[in-house]
Amino acid sequence: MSKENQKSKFKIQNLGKRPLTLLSTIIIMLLIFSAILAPLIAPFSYDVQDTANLLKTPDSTHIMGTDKLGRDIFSRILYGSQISLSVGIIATLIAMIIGVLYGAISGYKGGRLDNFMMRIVDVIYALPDILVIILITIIIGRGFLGIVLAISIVNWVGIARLMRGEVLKLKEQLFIESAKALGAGHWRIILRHILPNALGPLIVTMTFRIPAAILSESTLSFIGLGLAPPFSSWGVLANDGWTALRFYPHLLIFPAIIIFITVLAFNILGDELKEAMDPQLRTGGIR
Amino acid sequence: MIKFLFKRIAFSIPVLFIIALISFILMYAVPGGPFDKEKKLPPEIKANIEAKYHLDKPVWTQFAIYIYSLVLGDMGPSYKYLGRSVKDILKDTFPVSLQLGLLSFMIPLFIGIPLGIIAAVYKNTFIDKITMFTAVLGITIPHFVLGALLILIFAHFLKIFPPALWEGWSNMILPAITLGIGPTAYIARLTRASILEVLHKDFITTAYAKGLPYSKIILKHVLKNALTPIISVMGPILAGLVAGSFVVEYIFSIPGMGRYFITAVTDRDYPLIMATTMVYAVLIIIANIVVDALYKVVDPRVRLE
Repeated sequence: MSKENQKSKFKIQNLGKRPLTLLSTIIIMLLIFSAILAPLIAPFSYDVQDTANLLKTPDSTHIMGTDKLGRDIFSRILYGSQISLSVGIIATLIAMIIGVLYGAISGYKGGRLDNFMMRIVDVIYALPDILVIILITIIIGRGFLGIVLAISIVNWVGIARLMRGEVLKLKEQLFIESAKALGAGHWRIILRHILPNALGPLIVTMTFRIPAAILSESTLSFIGLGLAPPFSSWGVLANDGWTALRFYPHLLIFPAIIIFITVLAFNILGDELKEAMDPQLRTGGIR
Repeated sequence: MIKFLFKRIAFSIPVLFIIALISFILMYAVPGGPFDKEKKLPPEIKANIEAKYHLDKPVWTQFAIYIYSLVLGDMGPSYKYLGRSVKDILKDTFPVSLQLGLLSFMIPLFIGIPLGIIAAVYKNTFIDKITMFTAVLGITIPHFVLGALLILIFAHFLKIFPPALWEGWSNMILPAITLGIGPTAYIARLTRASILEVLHKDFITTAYAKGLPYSKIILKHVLKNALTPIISVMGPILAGLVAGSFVVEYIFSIPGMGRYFITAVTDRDYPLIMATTMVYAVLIIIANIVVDALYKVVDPRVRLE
């Protein structure tokens, strides 16, 4: 208990001293809230066509301009953040659940089963992510659910590896042995004793996985293999803008900036969390 | 060493087989066939086409035929580009992707590593902080954002480089930068971390004590020992650069393997999708074997199992 107190105190103290942590947290919070409150904040609906102002560069009514159908880019980005962020977060959560369970079983059981389970992970790990995602979306379709599932299928393997490593490290420790001696079942040991102790690295990984998932979706949509209109994820907007890059760069620039800021904020937060959990890294800073 | 290589190659064959099997089943599971067009073909003609490509046979027979011809070096015909075999297409497109990958690999190699060394040497100074912050930006920026930005600035506004295609050196610069910037930033961070770790070792203190000049210690003693983790990521990075250029090839309209892969997916050109997937898998496996072998060269203490 006292150790946990120390830990949380340590982090809150750090927050003040570490402007980057504070800044990235604020940005992420802002993004999430503006996504939830999009219908209230957005000056226009995402599909309202202002036919008098087609392809307008930014001005006072349309602060980020309008697209070829006269739709307000700022509003579309706000609505798009609902899709982009939920793809990132849901896909990561699914991947976390699968990865944690898979890794825990593999590491806990050990032996042949472990070997077999890890070879499967190796095979998926061996192929480029975007390739596997594209292959999977061919089958399950390119709807919201299809994209989310495809991204989770790619992402769980890394988490499974991490979890397995943590389990291997923890399962030999004394407190696990005493839990066993007290008659705790396998699942109780995994869920109540191992998982809480592996939470730190898992949270750090999650902070890196969410932006990666957001990026996967945007990239897919950008090359035309992901979500398609009427969805207006950031990637779909960027794809819209790409076709008119030469003459109407604002169509691409604004979605691109938002994607970049989001990914950057999550990554910086991840770096900071990682450092906070492992002060040794302060000399280094490997990803 | 020979035994090691032999063993690793032998082990990779079942892995490749499994990858082939999985992707084949995936392709097969897709609803609709490659010859279901908007304009319905007469049933006899469709049956003829399917018979020609063995599509009328059971899935296992199809897979067996595929593997058999693959072993003989035949990757089948393209469904989309009639009259061209997949092998011909790969012959044209793979060198382009390889060229792009190798060129962009030069950036982490010749810029990433030196930047990392500089950041480590000037640790906690302004130079270090600015380099590492740039590295975070470099790792984070998505390909399509950077690519579009570079095209906008250098092709449309400044008109220094052409925005697309693959005809000469001037075409290669922007895509190579777009593709190479992420690994460069990553390598810079890794090099810095690796050097800082070695700097704390006893033998470095000894080198100082002997009165060696700082530059010599860094270049000879530190770098040599800091190299191992860097080499271990270089192989996968190279493979990733060659295999992972879909988006960059798409943005810059480069006629490489990645762009053909994307169009193959939209066209449902299954043999082409299969073949590109296999080429990527082979590339990555080779890269990993080379890295493990290089480990041994750099650090003789490493034992190869």
